[in-house]
Amino acid sequence: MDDATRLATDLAGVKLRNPVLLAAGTAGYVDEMAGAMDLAGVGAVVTKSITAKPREGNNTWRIIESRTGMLNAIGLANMGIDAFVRDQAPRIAGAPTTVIGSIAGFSIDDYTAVAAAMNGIDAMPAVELNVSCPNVHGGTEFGVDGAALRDLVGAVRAVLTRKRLFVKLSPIVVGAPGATIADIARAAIEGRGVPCGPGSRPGADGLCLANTIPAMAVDVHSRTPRLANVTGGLSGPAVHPAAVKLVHEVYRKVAKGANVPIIGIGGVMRWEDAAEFILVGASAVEMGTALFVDPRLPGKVARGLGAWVQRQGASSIGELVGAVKL
Amino acid sequence: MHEIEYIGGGPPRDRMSLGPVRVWVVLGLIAVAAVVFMQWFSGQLFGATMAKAPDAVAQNEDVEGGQYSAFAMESKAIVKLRWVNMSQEERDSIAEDFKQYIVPLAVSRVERLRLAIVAGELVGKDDAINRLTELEKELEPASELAADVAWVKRLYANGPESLGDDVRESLRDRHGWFGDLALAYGRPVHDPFRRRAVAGREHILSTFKNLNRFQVAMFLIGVIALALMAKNYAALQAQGQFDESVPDEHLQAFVLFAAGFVVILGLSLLPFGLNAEGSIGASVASSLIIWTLLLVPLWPLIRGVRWSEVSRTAGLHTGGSLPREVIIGAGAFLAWMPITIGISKALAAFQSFFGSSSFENSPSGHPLFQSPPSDSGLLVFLGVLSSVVWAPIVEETVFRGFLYGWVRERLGYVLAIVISSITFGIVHPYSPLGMLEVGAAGVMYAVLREWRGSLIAPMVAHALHNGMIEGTSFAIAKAIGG
Repeated sequence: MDDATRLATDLAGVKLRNPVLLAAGTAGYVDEMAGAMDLAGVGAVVTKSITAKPREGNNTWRIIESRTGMLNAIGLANMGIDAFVRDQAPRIAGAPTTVIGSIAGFSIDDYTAVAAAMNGIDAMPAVELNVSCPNVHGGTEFGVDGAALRDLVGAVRAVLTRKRLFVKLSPIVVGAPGATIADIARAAIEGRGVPCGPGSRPGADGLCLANTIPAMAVDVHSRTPRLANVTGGLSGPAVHPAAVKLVHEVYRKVAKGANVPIIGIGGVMRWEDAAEFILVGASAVEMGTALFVDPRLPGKVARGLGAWVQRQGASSIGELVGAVKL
Repeated sequence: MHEIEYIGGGPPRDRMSLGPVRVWVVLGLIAVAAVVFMQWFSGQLFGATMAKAPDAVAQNEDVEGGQYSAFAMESKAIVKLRWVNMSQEERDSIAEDFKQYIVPLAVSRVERLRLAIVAGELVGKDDAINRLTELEKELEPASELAADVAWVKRLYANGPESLGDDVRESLRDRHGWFGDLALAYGRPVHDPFRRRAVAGREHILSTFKNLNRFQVAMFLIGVIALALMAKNYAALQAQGQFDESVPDEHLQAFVLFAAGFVVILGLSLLPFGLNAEGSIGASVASSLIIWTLLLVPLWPLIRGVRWSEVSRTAGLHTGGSLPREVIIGAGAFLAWMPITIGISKALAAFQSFFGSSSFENSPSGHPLFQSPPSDSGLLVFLGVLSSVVWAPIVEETVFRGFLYGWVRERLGYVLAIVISSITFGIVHPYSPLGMLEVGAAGVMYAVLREWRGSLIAPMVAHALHNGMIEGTSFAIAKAIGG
């Protein structure tokens, strides 16, 4: 029994080498991190979020450090789906690890345009749907409005006939009855679409929990916001315990019963952080902020998880998913 | 104390009587009637599943197995044998045949999905899509079968190319030949993928041709065997000795057999309402429990009849030379072939004269007589075992041994042959014409018993006959379903 068997992960039919993924926006389009780290040591790379049209993004400063993590307000800077399909997609097949697409948009049409194009990229087995974007028609984020999210997932599912669909949820939801994180998660996996393959579902095939937490930092000397965009998203160790709680809640209330895999995201810096996610119900984790500290950390986390699985007496990491003793 | 009467005379024995013999005769008639009723009742139940199935059957979403069900075999036969070689005008009429013969056989949800695939081929993609849309309403959106339905629907709407490789693989994995047929939709005739699904006509026809040749050969061999047996009849000295009085325990043993059979038939109906796994388990259990009927010959022994008496009067002995009796049994099986072939041809002609389909009158799918091949290897094994081993031993012992012996002493050999054969015929759960066929075979076995005295020859002939039927149905099922 070696790490390859212990860590092999199946996310709704997508087979990964191990459960450690690189989070969207932190690892470039395809394999740009290959110079800084061994991509063969991670389960998958999630690309930068792609929108229908090219975007310059926000003015600088767009990334700043905080005492317990990082704030970013990139503003979805990316080359747009046409350039992505033309210039980046051909490299995916040669990448040393699995590449998962990421879609962002400001209307359902935006999302479906990108999804339809990504559906044609053969080497990409799955896409992640970034729903923490304001809906230009409704004003609120898709990720906090169950009805809007259900419509969005349904529309994307209709054109995404050949890719597994993971939905990356927002961490901040209203929390009122009918609008808890469990309700939002349910809205994402429900739906009467057509599953794209064995292990797939009529709605989302998997849930990613969670995106960054809206945050703000102020320079007290100049009395100006430290981000040009004023606010941004907080990531890193500060958000980890909050994300663990979200995974725990969604796993217990929704995902376990529906057999939907969860990808835990939020401040994974050490293998213990990843193991926490696994124990409360995540099948895999994504790492982002850690890459800015040390690009070799994902590899270390994967090795640490392999040793942990062995010490726990389990034959595969799947046996430890949701195995927290309550 | 009851007054004891003996129909056929004979000295009173020193055993305590279990009531007047006419009571046992009546009990025997009731038991046989109960067997017939249970057969009829289970036939009704099985027939009813076609029209209005119990929920557990109708809602079954288990894709395992089912490749050899009546629905699957009929579908494969109609597509492979007829569809491929039809002209356009003939194809227009096949929709009617599809409605009449195939549609009523699809009961479970899985079968209805597969039915839609056959409809897509034989009727058209609109009919397939309508059937899938109907089925979709009953399914949990996130169930595996719902995904299959959605994919097949997309296939008929947008063509097989609209499905990813893993989806195609999954459809073929889960639905076997039906998956192949769906994925071959709309492909040109000589496309290898399409040929894999619809080819096989030549193979089926050559199998039938070979079976016909086999039958002709058996006919000729049978004529020779018949001539040889007639020529050597005198040399094969008769062993039958019926000068000893036959104890009433033999009749009682027969009644116990019939009563036990009723109970087992009742138990075998329990699988209704179970899921697929449970029903295989129950079928296995009922194929095992029938072996308890091997204990029937114990009854006279328990009642104090000596084994030597039982073995002589019930034919449970080797007749002096076991090899000779085995050879005579095999010879009788062969010599009987021209007659059994003649009878089955005559019955088939009779049937087609009255215009009924051969399918409607074929033996029912009763689990006790599960004909191979089913999808469960264990069931096939037990089915063959009960057909080739259990039936010859138990049925010969009971019908030609106990019943024949007891009736013969009291009513003579002609009525013994008639009564044992009629009883043998009507307890077989086939159509009336099928019962006639079985009854005719019963006559042959009874004649063998009368001639030889020992049951070895009828047992061997019975086993060979059943083995040939199992082999034939194997060959046909493999040709159509393989």
